[in-house]
Amino acid sequence: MSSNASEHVSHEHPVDHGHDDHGSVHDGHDNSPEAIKKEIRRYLLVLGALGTLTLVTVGISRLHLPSWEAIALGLAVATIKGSLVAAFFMHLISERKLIFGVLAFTVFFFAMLLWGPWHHHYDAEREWPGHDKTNKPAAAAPANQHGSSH
Amino acid sequence: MDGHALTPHAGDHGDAHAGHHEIEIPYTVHPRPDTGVYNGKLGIWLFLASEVMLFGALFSTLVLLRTSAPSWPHGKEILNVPLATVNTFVLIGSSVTVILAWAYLRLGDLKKGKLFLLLTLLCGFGFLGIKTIEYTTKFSHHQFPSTNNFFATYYVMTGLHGLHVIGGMIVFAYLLLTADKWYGTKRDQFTNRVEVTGLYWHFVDLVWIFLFPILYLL
Repeated sequence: MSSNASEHVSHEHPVDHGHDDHGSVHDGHDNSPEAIKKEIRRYLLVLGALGTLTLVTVGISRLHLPSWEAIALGLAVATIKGSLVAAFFMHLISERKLIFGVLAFTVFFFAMLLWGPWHHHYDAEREWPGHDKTNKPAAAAPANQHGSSH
Repeated sequence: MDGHALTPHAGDHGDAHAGHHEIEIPYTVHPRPDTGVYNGKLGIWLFLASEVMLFGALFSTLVLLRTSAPSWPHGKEILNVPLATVNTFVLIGSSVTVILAWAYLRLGDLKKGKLFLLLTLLCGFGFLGIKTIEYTTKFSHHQFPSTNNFFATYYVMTGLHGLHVIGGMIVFAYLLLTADKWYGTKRDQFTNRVEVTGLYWHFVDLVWIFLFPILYLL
């Protein structure tokens, strides 16, 4: 593609693309070979971190921690892994405000999805105390003997 | 390789005066001035937002069922953790291969771009192959979705996730088959298609990152 075309576009759309001294910048991404090669190294580092954290997650499950501690720790590690994927692989670390706006709505409604049923559940427990006694979360048992069988 | 792999083309802005008779969709490559992103990227993020709601409803269901149940099995005692761990590595690896494909396409290296797209597709097959082994073993032990709430949620969530993997693989296969044609004529648009498909694939990876500990380990 010609440089003329490049100039044509940048004049027609005065968007801040985050230009810097490295070269061509497109949609927030620096497309100079040096920058891309640097990105590739970063992706490989993130891969190493994700692999290590996966092993940590498996390790935590073998520690025989109390149920809620294991869940909290496991979810914390999963959140770190998810954040790495979102930040670096999905480029949220350098994304546009509009995308964060979309995500803010998403997070809000996702939180409502989690909160709604829980709120209803504990409301029901207050209203029918007997429900509380019979529905305590319990420790593990063989798969085909528990859970709410159909 | 010119180091400026993502270059604009006139049709990107709907310029009909360049001798084109067909109507072209604007902003397929370059960011819209009002949103700051190209249409495809905004589209995929809106789609992913709806996907969060879909999986969010299932996660919410799982939390409610688990906290309400008199007892709940530990996944690590009845599911195959080593296989699922391998699958986690496969999916994480595929996230890297797809982003490397995108990086090499930006560098102007179609050969490596296609190679990493192919590796991503193979990782998808690997993931589904391992999942098939898991399902087959469970079925042979008469552990079906109807067995109990644990298996109902396990099959629904991993099954829906598996369908998303298949969906991503179909798109990767399409991108691979049309790479030569599109990269030769609409290089920037093709590169962006790989980027948005990659965003979807990373989301599928992200869902698995949470499914793995919740279903298999905790």
